[in-house]
Amino acid sequence: MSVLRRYRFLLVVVGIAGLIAIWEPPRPADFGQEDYRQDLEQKRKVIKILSSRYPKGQEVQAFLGMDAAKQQDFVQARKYFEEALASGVKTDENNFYLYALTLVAMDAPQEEIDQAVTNWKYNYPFSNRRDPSDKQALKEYLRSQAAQTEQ
Amino acid sequence: MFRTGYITTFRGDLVWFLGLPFIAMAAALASQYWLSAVALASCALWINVPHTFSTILRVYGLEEDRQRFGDRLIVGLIAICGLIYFGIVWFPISLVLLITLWNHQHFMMQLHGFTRIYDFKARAGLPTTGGFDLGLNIVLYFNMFLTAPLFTKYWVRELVRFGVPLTISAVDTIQILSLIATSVYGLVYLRHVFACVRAGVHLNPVKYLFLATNYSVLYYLAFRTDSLLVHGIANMIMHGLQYFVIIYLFTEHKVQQSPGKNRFLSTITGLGAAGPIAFFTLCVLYAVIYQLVLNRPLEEFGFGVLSFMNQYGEALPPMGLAALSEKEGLDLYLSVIIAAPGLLHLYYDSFIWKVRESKSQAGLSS
Repeated sequence: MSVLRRYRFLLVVVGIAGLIAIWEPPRPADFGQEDYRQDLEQKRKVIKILSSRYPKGQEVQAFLGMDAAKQQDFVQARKYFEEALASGVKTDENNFYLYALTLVAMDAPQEEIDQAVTNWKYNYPFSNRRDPSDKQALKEYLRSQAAQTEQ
Repeated sequence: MFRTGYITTFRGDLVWFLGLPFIAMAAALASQYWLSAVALASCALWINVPHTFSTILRVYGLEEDRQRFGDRLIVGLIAICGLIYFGIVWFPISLVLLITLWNHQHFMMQLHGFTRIYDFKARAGLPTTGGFDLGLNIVLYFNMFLTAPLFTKYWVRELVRFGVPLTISAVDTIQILSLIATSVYGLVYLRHVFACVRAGVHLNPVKYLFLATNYSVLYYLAFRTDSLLVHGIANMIMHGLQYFVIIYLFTEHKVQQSPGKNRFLSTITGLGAAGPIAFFTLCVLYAVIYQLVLNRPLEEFGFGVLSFMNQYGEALPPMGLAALSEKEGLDLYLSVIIAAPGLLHLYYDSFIWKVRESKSQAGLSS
């Protein structure tokens, strides 16, 4: 069997990897404001497409929740995160974590916060994130959001 | 017109190739309802990671495979390690995308592979049937990938990330074209089936049952759930366990056909009914090592139900006990595992050395 034929599949795989790599957008050395804006713009494009087809989909609701939380509209954020969680999707830690943070931010009843934190811990027992019921976690989150959107 | 042939036996195929998709679907839906997100990682550790190791066992364990594939095993190893290294350093997004796409191609090719085995076992189909089967699997699998809500979000996200000017109508067009192509190919495939009948060759009905059951479950889950956990668990169970069955069967046959060779694998397959369990256990041990090397918690094997920290993660002030850290919890667990053989030794020795018994006396006499 000729060498090319013998290694045909491997060559195809490496070739495809190379083709995709040529197109890969360069990663910025330092993720600055402009990069956050571009990243957000890309996410908005994706959500716009997905919301036209799957308006109640988990990704759409989660994104809207994060957007609302960023604007500090925690009441609306809570509704979106609850919709995202109601979809039954458990593979996005952000849904659980940010939902708990949102409840903390809006000073929700302690039982609701505890339940949300318990859900997060149950699904992500090995997470390195700070406990959302810790006020420091909320401060860190709000600080990171502010850093992304500062002019 | 029809001639049946099975990958294993009638009962074996009923369980592993026709019934397993429904069992997998039930397990996946149950996991979503009753288990946490850890279940996906657990499934990967119990099935996905071990099944990749089973390939290594076969190709390096069988002398025939080492001779037949020799250079490709080595060159492939070097090339893939190089690809991973350079990918992580220079083009990580492309590497992840490549792995994702290759996984999907692999899932599809395994389904195709089984359809070919069915025709081989039944001596069914025309020489061109293999090509038509491949086309059918490609069309069915990638139609699911392009049109199912579960997967649409992934390729939309990646295309946007790579700067492709995607619009809502473009997505609609892609999906409609995919459905049309699938329908057209369906008719083309039916035409081929009728051609087989007219040519007087046999058809294996089990093959079509296999395709119907496996794809119907995959499609149902991809369209009905938004959850990667559900689809992922079902796919891993179907793909992984079916792979275990075929690789063990193949290895067992090859070992029987070459007596005196393949000592390591013949030791495993020679265990009879315990052989598959030993084979599977070896592969799971690899998953344990894999998890330890990655410094990931062993509790991920426990589906989120078993946890070292459940009992010891809380402090007990009345007893002056502080909460255990995760490392301390693991140390405690490992010390139990290490101490168990010692205690077993104490217990077994209490009855295996009775000198008054004739069988003990026989062992003590020269």
